[in-house]
Amino acid sequence: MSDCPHSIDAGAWVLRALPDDEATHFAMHLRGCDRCTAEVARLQLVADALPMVAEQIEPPPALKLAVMDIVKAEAARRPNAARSRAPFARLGELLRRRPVWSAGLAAVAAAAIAVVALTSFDDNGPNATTIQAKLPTLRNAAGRLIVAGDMASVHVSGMPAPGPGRVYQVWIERPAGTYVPTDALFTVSRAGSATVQVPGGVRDAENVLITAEPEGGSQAPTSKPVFIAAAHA
Amino acid sequence: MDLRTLADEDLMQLVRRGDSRAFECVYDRHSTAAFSLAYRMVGSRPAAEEVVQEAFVSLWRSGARYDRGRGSVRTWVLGIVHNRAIDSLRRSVVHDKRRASDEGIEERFAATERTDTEVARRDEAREVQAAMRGLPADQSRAIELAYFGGFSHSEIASMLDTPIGTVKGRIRLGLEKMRGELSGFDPGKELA
Repeated sequence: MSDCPHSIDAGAWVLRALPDDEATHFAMHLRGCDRCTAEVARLQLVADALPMVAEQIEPPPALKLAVMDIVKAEAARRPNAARSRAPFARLGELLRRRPVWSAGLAAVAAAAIAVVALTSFDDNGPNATTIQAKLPTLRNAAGRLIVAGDMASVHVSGMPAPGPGRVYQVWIERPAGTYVPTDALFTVSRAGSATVQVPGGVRDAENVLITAEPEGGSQAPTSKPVFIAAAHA
Repeated sequence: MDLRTLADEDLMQLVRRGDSRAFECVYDRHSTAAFSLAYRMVGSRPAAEEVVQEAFVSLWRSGARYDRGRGSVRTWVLGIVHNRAIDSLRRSVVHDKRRASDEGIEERFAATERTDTEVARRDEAREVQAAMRGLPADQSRAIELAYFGGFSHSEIASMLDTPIGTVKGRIRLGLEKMRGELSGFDPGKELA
């Protein structure tokens, strides 16, 4: 038990029983008091268990319908908004966590990406552009981005499997240096090849990236990119 | 992919991207605990429904703010419900008439134990309830009024005609004793 005189407030704090002014003061105190911080952490475990004291009661089915009506309506209205806000909000965290990659990415991409040739895009006619990608950590792999208008697809070969419990995820890098996740999650064939559409296209993209992420994908990259391609020739 | 097989934290990754089906799974897993907590706090079904609806819609809109490093999804959900219920109580004109104990609740719809997970949670709930019952009455009363009643320590002191410092001490001592009884217990662990 903490011997700080303020620790008497720890219990009321975790139960949200301190009046607002006292709660503000205690929050400021916590920033500089390791003993009270530890005390709060210990008591918070009990506070988190207190809901179990309540007798368990089924909510009415109509409540779920009401909640899901709102959720589905909002999901239909903002299919991309929810996707794009989160990575922007977490960008600062990402940059702090991975300063080397983040700082060097633009330079790496600019130096390494080469535009090779005009070729055909499978489903979009003859005006497609093939952009060779840089695969900085994969010596025996190759990759390219095929762009036609705003549409794009990623083509890789010779890539290793992403590893147990991991998938490859396609990212859009915006000109401001922000990374927007896509739903394009994939693994490769035994030969190491895969072809993946870039969801939403590349209208606002500067680069298209691929990283290995935990299954289900991530909201911010958690590993260095294995594929970097300019989104426009 | 059957979303029901995913862990809460993985579902929240999908919720962040606007996946309403993933959100529905989160609702299905935690709505009973959420409704039970809200009902215990606000004391009526309509008010509890309002609290839970507000909480889950808030959860949907703020899914990107969930940080797994700060606890489980269940703890996060119930924390939102608790805060919403306190807000509801503190703006309610009938706050002082509401019951903080579980006696007198007219409508009861006991949740059924449908899965092994729910059975496990019910067993854990019994442990917590036993730890609460094992407290001296003055300590459990102070904790009940603070956590489920949404009262501040000064309000509790006034209600019990007890000095504020005594109320703070009872709350803290009671929580400490429960902590000892529940050592090794993790209310946020993933059971799904």
